[in-house]
Amino acid sequence: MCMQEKKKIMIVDDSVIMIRLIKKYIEGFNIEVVGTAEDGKMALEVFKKTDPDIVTLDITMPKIDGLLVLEKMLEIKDSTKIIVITALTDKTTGLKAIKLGAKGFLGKPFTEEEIKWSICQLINKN
Amino acid sequence: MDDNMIQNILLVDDRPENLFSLEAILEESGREFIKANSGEEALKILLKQDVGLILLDVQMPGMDGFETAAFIRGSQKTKHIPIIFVTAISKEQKHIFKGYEAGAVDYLFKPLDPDILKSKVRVFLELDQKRRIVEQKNEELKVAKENTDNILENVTNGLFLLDKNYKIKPQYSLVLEEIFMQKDLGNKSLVKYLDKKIPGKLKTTVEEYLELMFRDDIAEKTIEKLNPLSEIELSIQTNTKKSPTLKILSLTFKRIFNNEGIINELIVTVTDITDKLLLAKKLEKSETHSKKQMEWMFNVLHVEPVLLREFMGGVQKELRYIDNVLKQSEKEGDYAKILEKVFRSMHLVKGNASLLDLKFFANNAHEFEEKISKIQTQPNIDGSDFVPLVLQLDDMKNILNELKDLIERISNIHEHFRPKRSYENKLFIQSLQNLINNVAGDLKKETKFIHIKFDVGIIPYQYRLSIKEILIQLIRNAVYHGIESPDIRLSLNKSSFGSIEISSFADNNTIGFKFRDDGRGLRIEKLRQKAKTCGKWKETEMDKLDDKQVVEAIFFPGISTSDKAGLVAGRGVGLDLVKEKIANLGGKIEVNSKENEYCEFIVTLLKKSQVVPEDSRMDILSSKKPYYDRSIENIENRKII
Repeated sequence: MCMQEKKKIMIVDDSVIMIRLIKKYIEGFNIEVVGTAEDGKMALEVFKKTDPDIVTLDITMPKIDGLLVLEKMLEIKDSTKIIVITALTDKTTGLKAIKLGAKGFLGKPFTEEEIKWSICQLINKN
Repeated sequence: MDDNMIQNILLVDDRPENLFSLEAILEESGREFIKANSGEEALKILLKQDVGLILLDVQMPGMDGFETAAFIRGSQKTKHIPIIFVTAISKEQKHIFKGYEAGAVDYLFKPLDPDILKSKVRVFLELDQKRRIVEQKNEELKVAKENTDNILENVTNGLFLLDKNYKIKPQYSLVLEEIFMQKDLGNKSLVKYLDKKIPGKLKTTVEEYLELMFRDDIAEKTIEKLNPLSEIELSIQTNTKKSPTLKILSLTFKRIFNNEGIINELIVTVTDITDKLLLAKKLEKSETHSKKQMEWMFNVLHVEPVLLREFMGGVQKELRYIDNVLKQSEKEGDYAKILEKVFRSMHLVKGNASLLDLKFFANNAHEFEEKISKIQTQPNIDGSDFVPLVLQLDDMKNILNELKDLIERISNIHEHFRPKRSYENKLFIQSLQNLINNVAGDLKKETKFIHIKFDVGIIPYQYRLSIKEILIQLIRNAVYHGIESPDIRLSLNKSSFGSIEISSFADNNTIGFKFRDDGRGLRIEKLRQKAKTCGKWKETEMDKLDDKQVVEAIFFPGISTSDKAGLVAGRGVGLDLVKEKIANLGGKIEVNSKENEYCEFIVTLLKKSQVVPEDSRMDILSSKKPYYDRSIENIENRKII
């Protein structure tokens, strides 16, 4: 289903467990995890270095405005496809992120299928 | 126009040769001719057949052309059929036909001009065909409208279309007015309607959501889960009532596209889920309650009243203790220490509840512990953080009172019940066996409990409560950490059943017991790692510690080699409690272990030590009599556990 040119993905989440989980979920995809980050500052550094096509971004990180990270990333490269992750109850932030240019939204807690679907969608869309 | 449509033409004339010549002139594909020799016959035919045009001879014997036409016009089914009169009457007599001019009527005068005849017939047939098409469309539209009206009137969901200005389109389902508690919603703005009924911040979110719903560049699925109105509480103020009505509604939005694929409007369904939600809540509450009741009934009927009374007393004691500690927290101020105290106390309650299989109570205690753990992780703790603890404590007190009622009723039956010595042993062992079964069952482990060399009779009454609590802790640790799961055990050439063995011993001065499990034993290296974090030893000292010292670490607070805290063990309180208890009794504990083979604890107590009751904090126990001098009856009344 996701058979195209190999895409690069970066995972930003303040929980290492979550990063590991997402990595595991997308193992079978034709996609390479080029970087991970646990906070916003690190996220931007890794982003500049690795130039990913897709980013999963948990925007409810402590001490940093995830929306700002999202904006900065799109400033650097506006074709980046960003899936924002936030608490399902925080719809306001989710809508703001989409308005700012995020291409997908996942509410925590999400299922394996949901995250696979979101990423697969973005891989196939050009 | 439908090419396959066959049009019937009715020819009426009393002379067969005239009928013949008309047919000859008008013959064409797509036309069928029906011939009648009189007005009466023509009417009969019209009853049965669908006719597109009538050519009617005026001068006929019997019913003449005018009379026939009058009948045709008089019938609902045939009044629309165009009629061409064929007549020999002179053009000056045209006024005779005046009465029929309203319908599609024309005249042909004999002798007939075939070209004129042909062209007139063609025009009338075309007219008829158009009329039919329009009629059919009208019929379809009528049915469609009726269907829509039907749906809009009868659906139980509110249903409406929302245009780009967020206005409700006039055709909406009737029930919407009822749900929204407002009439004439057509052309009203949805956002304006929601104003003051929902929090202002949410209104902004709603506008943002609707904006994105109308944006073609954003996939509907992307924002599917961001609908802020999927479950929304509305506070509706009406003129008729003083206080606002609270409603919980669910609004779902779907895009409707026009022919060019542009989002034209949104179809919105509104469901009133107030009752559903309230009912679900009520149901959940009553289910929880009846589950609790059932569980108690079951337990109370299966557990000996002595044990239950013990449990009650113990829990009551602990809850009162926690209550006091929390109350004094304002003065004391060392919140970390208070939490530690409260946690230990609640941990005991949890243990005792699992022992008697009172899962409901154990879960409550577990939740309480979770709350404490959560507070402990906060950087700055202050008194207000204790509020949830106080609230849950109240809940637990209520539960306890209910349970007390139940037990009292049952205890009345056993009023004169006194346990015999052998029976006591049985009870003691049975309750431990229950605990092992429960814990092992939860963890999907297999166990056998060997207690043949254990005699509770040699343990003085004043020690029994403490020893039981020590055993509870050791059992929990053994099953949780020690005994491996059956498949691992089999792979290590062990029996799939992990054994837990207790035995008692006594001589002139001491009594004691041995507790042994054949699990994986203490893992020295893992303990060494954990010990580094417990704060007892400095980093530099750590490397010098021998295995025996490392093993001692298991008796310090906060040490658990399990990463996850479960209901059973894993929070690192447990063995520190055990050590404290034994110290209070003036005894000692010894550990022996071999990795992958066994772990063994030997507890030795002096037979008659001047023990300070560890529960002296309990007013119920603050009697001047020496602790060990109390009679059996008193011990029971003291509600020991």
